[in-house]
Amino acid sequence: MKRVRSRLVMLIAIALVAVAPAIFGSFTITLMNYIGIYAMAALGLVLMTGIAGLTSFGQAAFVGIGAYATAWYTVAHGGSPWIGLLLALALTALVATILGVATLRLGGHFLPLSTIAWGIAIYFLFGNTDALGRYSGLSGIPPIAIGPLSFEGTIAVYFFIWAVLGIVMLLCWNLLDSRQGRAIRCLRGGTALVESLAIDSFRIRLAVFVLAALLAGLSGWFYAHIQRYVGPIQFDIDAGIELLLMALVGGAGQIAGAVVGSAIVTLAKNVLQDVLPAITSYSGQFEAVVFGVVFIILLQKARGGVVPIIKKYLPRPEQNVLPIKASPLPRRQRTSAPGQAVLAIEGATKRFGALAAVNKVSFEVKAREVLGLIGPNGAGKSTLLNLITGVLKPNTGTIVFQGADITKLPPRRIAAAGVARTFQHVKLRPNMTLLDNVLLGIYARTRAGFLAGALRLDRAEESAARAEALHQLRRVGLGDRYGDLAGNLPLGQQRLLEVARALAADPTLLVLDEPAAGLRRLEKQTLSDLLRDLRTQGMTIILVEHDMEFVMNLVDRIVVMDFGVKLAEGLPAAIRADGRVQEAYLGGVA
Amino acid sequence: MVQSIVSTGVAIGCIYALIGIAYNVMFSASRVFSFTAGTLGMLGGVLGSLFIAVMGLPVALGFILALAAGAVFGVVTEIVAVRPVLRSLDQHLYVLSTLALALIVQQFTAIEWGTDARPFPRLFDIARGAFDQQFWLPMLACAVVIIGLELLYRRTLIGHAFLAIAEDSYAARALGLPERRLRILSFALAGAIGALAGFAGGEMLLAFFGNAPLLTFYGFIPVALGGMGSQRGAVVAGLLLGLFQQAANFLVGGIFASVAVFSVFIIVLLARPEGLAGAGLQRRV
Repeated sequence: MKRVRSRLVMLIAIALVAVAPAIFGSFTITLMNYIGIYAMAALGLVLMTGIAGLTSFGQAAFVGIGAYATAWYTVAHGGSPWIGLLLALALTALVATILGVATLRLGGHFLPLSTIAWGIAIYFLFGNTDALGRYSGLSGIPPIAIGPLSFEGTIAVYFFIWAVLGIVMLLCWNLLDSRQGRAIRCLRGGTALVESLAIDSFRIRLAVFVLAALLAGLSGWFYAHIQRYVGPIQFDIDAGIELLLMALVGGAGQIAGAVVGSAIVTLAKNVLQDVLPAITSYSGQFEAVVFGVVFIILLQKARGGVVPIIKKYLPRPEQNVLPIKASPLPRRQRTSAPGQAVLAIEGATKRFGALAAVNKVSFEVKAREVLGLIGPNGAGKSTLLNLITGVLKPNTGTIVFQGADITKLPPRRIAAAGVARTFQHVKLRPNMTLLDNVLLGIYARTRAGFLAGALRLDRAEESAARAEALHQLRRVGLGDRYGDLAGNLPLGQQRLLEVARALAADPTLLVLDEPAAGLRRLEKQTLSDLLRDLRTQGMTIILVEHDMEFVMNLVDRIVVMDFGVKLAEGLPAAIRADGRVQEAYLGGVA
Repeated sequence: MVQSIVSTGVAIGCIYALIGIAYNVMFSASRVFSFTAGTLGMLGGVLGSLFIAVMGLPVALGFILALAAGAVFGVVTEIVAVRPVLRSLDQHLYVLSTLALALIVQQFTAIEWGTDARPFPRLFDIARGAFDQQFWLPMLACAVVIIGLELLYRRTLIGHAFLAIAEDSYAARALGLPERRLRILSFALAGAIGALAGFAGGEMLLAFFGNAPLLTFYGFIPVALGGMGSQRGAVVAGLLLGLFQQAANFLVGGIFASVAVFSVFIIVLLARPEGLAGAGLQRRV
């Protein structure tokens, strides 16, 4: 029922677009053409800024590159607009790749600023190049045509624009619901989680950046052939800010937000241009003032944009339809025989300034054992886990995993080698469903690329991945809540969800940082049973935990740390009887 | 020529450094880069010219009023554009909110003051020379601000409170420091410093609405290169920027000089993301 209703909303929207030319005059249709064109560029920003969290003020520069590429080719060389389209897309992708490689490594504040810098630079480039007509631009651009069929009229091109817009929106929608799309959605909220999932965050950032630029290039191609004229001023930094405003007004993070935002901003601008000259003689400046005020009110009152507000009144579409039947995903070969060392830490030392958080620690974790790492607060347990998973690099010492030295590998390579982890401070994507969060863990076991995801060529693999994710959710007891948002779970269950995500990676070594903290008694029992179960299936587990009852009943061996050094190592019973351990915990009273 | 590059470069570098210090004072109190810093400088120049040249007020009174207006704008920035986005710092929404506020003020200035650059009055009746007041005024202002901030931070209780907030605002709040009031005070202080930059550099930059984005960008470079929150880094990087820009202006000319500045800026950021000044922030355990 819900699905039918949300489909109905979509159908009504499509029908409205289709009958618009019969209702409205040519002026409105022209306006709608521009709304569609801007919506394509804004869609790029929705993906990049709204979903991946990379703020860009330079999107208009990419629109400009697309527009100028086709304008230059069709005007100066008399070429076909269709070749011009290929040229526009190729050139924007090339420039975006170069700029992305140069600037996407910049952290935090600097990335948005660098987009302003190259946005201005590209504008100056347009204005100072003779072949592009300097500041007077290029005119006499031919209209788009297929053979004898010309899209010169307002209405013909209207259908063309909105059909293309509909297709790219559908492709983006598909992409976001696929393997690479989930990686994009997971970028926002810090790289620690991304890299621990064996996802190359730089590559995904670059891909989103280029994808957004391609949408801008497409928008620029339409713009050039409909405006029939291009000039640098149309693509300056103000235009870039306006595109960002569109993405934000509509609702950054919402695909439909691109169209809604583009419509609101374009119509508002049109109204202001009509009204302002009657009030003031400084219409240009006043427009900017009004836009600035709207911007600030928006950020204060409706940061999510318009679409989420509308969505509240619409049925929530059924998400993550479960696979009925799927072939299982391939599993990792576990090569280590029982008793053989899976992980060997040799003299690992990590200093923060004068403090040695981990000081010459050595021990081994053997295949198919559960090793407990305990010690008082500040003993260096979490730092040691960070050394194992590659988040931190030791000052001295080596860490060997299944015979390979992983001391200097980045976290994602270690994760890909078969080490999955949970975090002491839970790192989930609260706005993604439980199923999507677990699917993130499967990233390294699946192959589908961006194009396969957008074109839905990944469905067989996707069904297998979903079946596997659901299986892992059921194992931790969250199977019937797969469609809920992760942020709505209580903390204890969020920890279990992290365990499910780690299991979904099919790891050889499972690294758990305080998995039982915040769990209820029954949940602890379930977790304990699950971990025992995993051990019999051949998994090796290292866990940090403060709940002594939980640890003593579960683990095979224990390593005790205190003030960064290894205090003791042995069987649970021996550790319990060890005087030094009692002293460390009870402060020498024992 | 060399003398001209050096005196102009150092003077303009001092203005950039002051804008950088205004950025830093706001950043320390809120962890937000407010892109209204250049607008403050623009307001200092325009209001100075308005009060002294147009309205005919005495120089001292015009000076105080311009700084006071800068302080008020600083407080408005905090209330309108910073406080609402503090809860979601990771989304960089402050870039948008502060830029929007800067844009409003800039365009409003364009409407009320006009889009032409107007002259800034000469403040002292002294003959022109190699070390004219348009050169030494920014230097003096920069020196006064650095010494003043140093005294404030090291010698006064409120200065210690500022430092505590900058170090760890959460812990400072737990100690009972009135974090919000201190933040507003910081923004007022930054407002006055930014206005002072525009006022002292008025004769060189003129009273021009377009100075706002210019100073916002060139003032940010010393912050990024000098290390966020580091006043000394901002001064050193500001002076270097001023000299480099003037030299590039002479050697390759206007637009390519800005391209050169941007290129060097991006290259340095890629090579040393924590800034030139040193190790940057130590990791907190």
